[in-house]
Amino acid sequence: MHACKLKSHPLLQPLLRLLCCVLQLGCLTAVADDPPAAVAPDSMTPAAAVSVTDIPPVAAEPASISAQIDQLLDGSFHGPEIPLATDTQFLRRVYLDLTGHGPTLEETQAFLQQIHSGQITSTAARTALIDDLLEREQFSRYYAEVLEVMLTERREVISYRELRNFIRQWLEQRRPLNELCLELLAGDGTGEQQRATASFIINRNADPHLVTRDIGRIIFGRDVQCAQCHDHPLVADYEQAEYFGILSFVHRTYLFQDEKRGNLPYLGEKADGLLEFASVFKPQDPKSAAQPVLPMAMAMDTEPQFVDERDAYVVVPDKEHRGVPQYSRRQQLAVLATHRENHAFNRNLANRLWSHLFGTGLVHPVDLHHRDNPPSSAALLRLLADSLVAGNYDLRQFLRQIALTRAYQRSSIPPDIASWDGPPDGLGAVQSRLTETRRQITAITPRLTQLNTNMQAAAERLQLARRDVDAIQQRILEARTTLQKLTADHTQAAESLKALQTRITQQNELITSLTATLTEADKILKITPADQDLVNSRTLFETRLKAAQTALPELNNQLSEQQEMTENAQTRVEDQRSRIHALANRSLALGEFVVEARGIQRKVRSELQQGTDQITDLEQSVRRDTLLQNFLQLRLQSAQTALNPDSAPDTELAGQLQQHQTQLLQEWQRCFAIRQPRSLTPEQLARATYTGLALDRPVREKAAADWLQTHQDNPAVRDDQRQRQLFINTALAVDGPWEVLEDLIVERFSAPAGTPQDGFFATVDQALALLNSAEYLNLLKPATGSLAERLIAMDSQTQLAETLYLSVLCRPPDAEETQMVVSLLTQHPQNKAEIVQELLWGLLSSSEFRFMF
Amino acid sequence: MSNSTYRPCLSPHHSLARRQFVGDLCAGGAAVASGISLFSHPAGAAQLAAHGRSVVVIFLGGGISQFESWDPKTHLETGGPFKSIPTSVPGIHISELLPHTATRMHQMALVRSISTDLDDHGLATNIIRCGRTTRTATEYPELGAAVARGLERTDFPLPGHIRTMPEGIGRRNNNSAYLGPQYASVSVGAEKGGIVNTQLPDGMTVETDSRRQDWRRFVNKRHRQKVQTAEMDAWTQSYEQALRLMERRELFDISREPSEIQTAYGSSPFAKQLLLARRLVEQEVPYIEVSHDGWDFHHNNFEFHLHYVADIDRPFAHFLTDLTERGLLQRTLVIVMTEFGRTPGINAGYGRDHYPKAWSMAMAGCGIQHGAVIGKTDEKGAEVIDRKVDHRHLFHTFLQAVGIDSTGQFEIAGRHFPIADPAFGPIQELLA
Repeated sequence: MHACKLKSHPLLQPLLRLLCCVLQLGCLTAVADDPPAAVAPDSMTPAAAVSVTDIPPVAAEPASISAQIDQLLDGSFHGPEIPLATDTQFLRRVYLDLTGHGPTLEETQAFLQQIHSGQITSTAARTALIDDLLEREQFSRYYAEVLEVMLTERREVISYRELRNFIRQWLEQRRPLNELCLELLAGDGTGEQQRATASFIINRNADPHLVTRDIGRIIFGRDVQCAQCHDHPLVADYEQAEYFGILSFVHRTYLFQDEKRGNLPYLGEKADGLLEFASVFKPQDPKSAAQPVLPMAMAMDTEPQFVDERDAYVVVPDKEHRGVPQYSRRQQLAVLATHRENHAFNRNLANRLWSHLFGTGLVHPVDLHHRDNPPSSAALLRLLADSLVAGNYDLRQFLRQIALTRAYQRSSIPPDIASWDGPPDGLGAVQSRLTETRRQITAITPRLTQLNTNMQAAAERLQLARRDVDAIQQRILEARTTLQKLTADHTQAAESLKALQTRITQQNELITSLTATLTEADKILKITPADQDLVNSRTLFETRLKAAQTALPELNNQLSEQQEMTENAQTRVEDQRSRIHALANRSLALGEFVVEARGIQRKVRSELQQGTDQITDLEQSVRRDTLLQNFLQLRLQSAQTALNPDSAPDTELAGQLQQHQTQLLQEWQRCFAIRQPRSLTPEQLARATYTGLALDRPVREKAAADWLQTHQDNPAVRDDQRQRQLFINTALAVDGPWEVLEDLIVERFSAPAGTPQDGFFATVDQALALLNSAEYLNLLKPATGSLAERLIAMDSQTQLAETLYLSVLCRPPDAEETQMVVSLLTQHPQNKAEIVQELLWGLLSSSEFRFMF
Repeated sequence: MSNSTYRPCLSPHHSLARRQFVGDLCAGGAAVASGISLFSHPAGAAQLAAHGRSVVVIFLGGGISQFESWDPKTHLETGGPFKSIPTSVPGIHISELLPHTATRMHQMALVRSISTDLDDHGLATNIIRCGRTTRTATEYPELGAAVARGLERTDFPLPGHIRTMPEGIGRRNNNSAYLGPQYASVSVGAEKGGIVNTQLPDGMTVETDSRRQDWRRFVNKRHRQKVQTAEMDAWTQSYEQALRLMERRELFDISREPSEIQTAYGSSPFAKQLLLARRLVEQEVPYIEVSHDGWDFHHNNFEFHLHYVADIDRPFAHFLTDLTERGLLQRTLVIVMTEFGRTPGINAGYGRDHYPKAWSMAMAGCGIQHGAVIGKTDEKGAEVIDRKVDHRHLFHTFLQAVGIDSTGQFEIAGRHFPIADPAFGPIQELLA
């Protein structure tokens, strides 16, 4: 009954108020002398954006984001001009990145043809292709796979197919990514359509520590693992409180095996359970109470307090029932973790998607966002995170902006630094830029110091506010214990009362019976007065009756006493309940101050992040320019030495120069001025093999014909490209040869379940399978419609070479390669089929195929 | 630790360093010139000194009874029917079920004071294998992965982490966590030959194979002239490694051993696995695990132990003898591992139940004090009364015994991982 009043208190009101507060204050964060591009707004609401910076709000011109990305990257790069990738390199890259498979021979030929014939410029053809691929059904299918692997890291309890299917539909409906993540944290496994949403937690067996770690890593990009037992020994940013902050949201969630639902695991949640923690290195220190707080000060500070347990649940957990609390910490987590105001979430998601398209993140490894592992460009990370929010987390729009950049489309063939003339204005320009950057760092530093002081002050303020609430909560806990005792007292009193009432009723019945018996005895005695036995009996009854009558008033006295005691006990229970209720209300009021203090902390934290971002970029600029300066000086020195005919060649100098070149190249790769070649994901590798061998061709053709046949009388359906693609892609997904490849490649080429899936590794079992396994080699044999069959049927060896290279590597062979193919075919005229298979095998085994350039 | 000691790694290729020293890259070793050092982590120097060492773990899955093996309590009614016997080390007695092993005690050490707190097979196996307190099998690398990484050598043609199986051939396992799949165990069958896919497919001649390899090398070489990375080299190199492994496939074939040696080991699946393990120790494979399962005797504990212990006793003792005679034991650490002990009480079915509170393990070979007994349990074997240790101390001890500095860190792709639980250390008095 008391809880009802609490329920009516709008849970979100304080949060909303807090948001308003942050938005109003958000405009004070700009630093006067910043270069405009470096201060993309932190908060993405247009109001805040306008007041922070001169550039127009990103939301107004989504098309310019790719230009802004290039502008930022170009601004930090002072190396030689890096050309764009060739059309064929781009073609393979963008197909793999947006659909997970390579282009078919016909698609490759058509793409190249339209450019070579001058029908369309290369730039326009690329843009058109990006738009085409983004609109394919295969895009949703492929990104369902990418996101599923990212989120579960191939842990499986609920089938990965179920989750992929769920995400595929989500993407087909163009729903926002943050809401997808929200659903995946909130899902409890009920509802057939929704079951897959519980995968994130159920696939980790709802182990609270594992779930905590992976929310940290996968949702926020922060691996707080080591902070479980003590503050992270290596990463100063990650505190034990942060680990327990996340844990506090999830530790009440548990796996529930539901017999009524086919014994499948579901998620239940408890309504109570407080966490305390202490460092294993300092076991003597007092324990700290954990609060449900997420990184970046997103917190749940206004949890309602319950009078007793019954009020806390919708369904009280027991052996047969999954607990459903009135207020679910996990639901709160799902909202806070994925809210557009959660910068940690936005930055992590933007970084992970960027990493998927570039092979490395701006922050790398992608789950180590912290001060000592800064993004290669903090301004760019900010821009990306903001554009993700501005575009309402639309995956296609976000990827489109990236795919359109020159950065994405650039070549990954490294430039020849030795023949580079150096930056336009030479060493002098580098040095004056260094001076200027250092001046800016000095100028910003006091502000950062100030912000750190503010941060400290905000933390203290929060701590004070928190202390009040903690004290009340402590009193509530104690009051609840008292309530339990009082309730027990009342129950006991009520039971005694009941016993007494029963006894009085019995006593009255006894009196009635004895009175009746005496009346009957008198009747009998009138007839047989001499019956001595009866006389004795009557006397006995009479004695009993008297005794019974005498006892009654005492019993009645006891009854009224007990009644009063019971009523008193009842009153005490009610008083105690209302006392708890009163305390709960006080706690709510005090909670407002915590909310306010948390808001201030969040604002300062956000300002500090901006400041840190600025200094990060400036420091990296210094590092890059210092490297460049040293390289240029060394080169000058080396040139001077070379001019002197008497001096011997300085091998040490040459070695240093070489080392600097390598470092420069790495640095330029790190800031995405040069693309790095990157390995295909297991799924990309399997699918590129499948399409490269044209094994999909007969399936596609048959499915397309079936579609036409089935819907020939219904042009509306027949010509619906989406439905048609869905039909064809579904047929491809269950094709036998595809499943063989999927089993063979995905299992061997993916990292073990539960570990990061974005790294590259080459192990001997992979090579052995591709060298010798019959399942794999059988796929290279000619089959109806396959590439092998077509190649064998070709008369012209040159044409064979060209078709081979175009199909597998998406590029034509050069003269020497054609020559090699022709000579192999010529040397073994009797074994054409065998040679063709070897040619295919060699290309599929090559590093050019295994990687993307 | 302060911020200043954390150095983010700028190269995404760091984890590949180990592969770059592998000899025959198509265009020479220039691939390596990206400022990467093989020994970029603190354990480097120790690794160098430890070359050639091996760890052999004999894992008795299910939980062998300490009373019927390493810590008999014959004076008790609940001590079981078996006597204890003296060993080659005066004062050390073990169960009479281990007469052959008793003769090797001067090369062994016992730890009788292990106390852990998990009595579920899976969970207990996790913690003992990875030396950490965790509830997840895949969170930390297992001992085998840590050893494979710690004792890694650059030019080594065989997998560094091998699990033998009686028969059938598994694939790569998921037990190396953040160290990466390169250090995950590869399963090798002792009876039906080796590693999967090490033979050319039916119908392919050596000639055809070398033709396709030449063509593959041609394609790679041409492309490498344009662009080259450590990852690409690792990929092309994995084919060359596979080819070398195929050439050495007879190493995994115990039928190549002289018949008198096969006879001496015995014909049980366990004995065959030990013989395979010895062949692999000879090749200096860093870590080999042999398993012997089914020790979970909740019923008829004594009858089963009579047979099971006999099954391991003679082959195990012979394994130690064989290693000694070949001079291999001085560079090999042998550990007889299990996941927990059995209850001091005997249940209604004459069985012993799970008991993690006080149990034992045996070791032999290099890096440890021979003839040592660490710790003590009370009269009833119910409590540890001296030198209580757990999985975390043992993990440190195993690594240090083969020269890996367990207090150091692994550096993997820019992040640092303590090799063993940093809040614990080795059993110092057990180390040689």
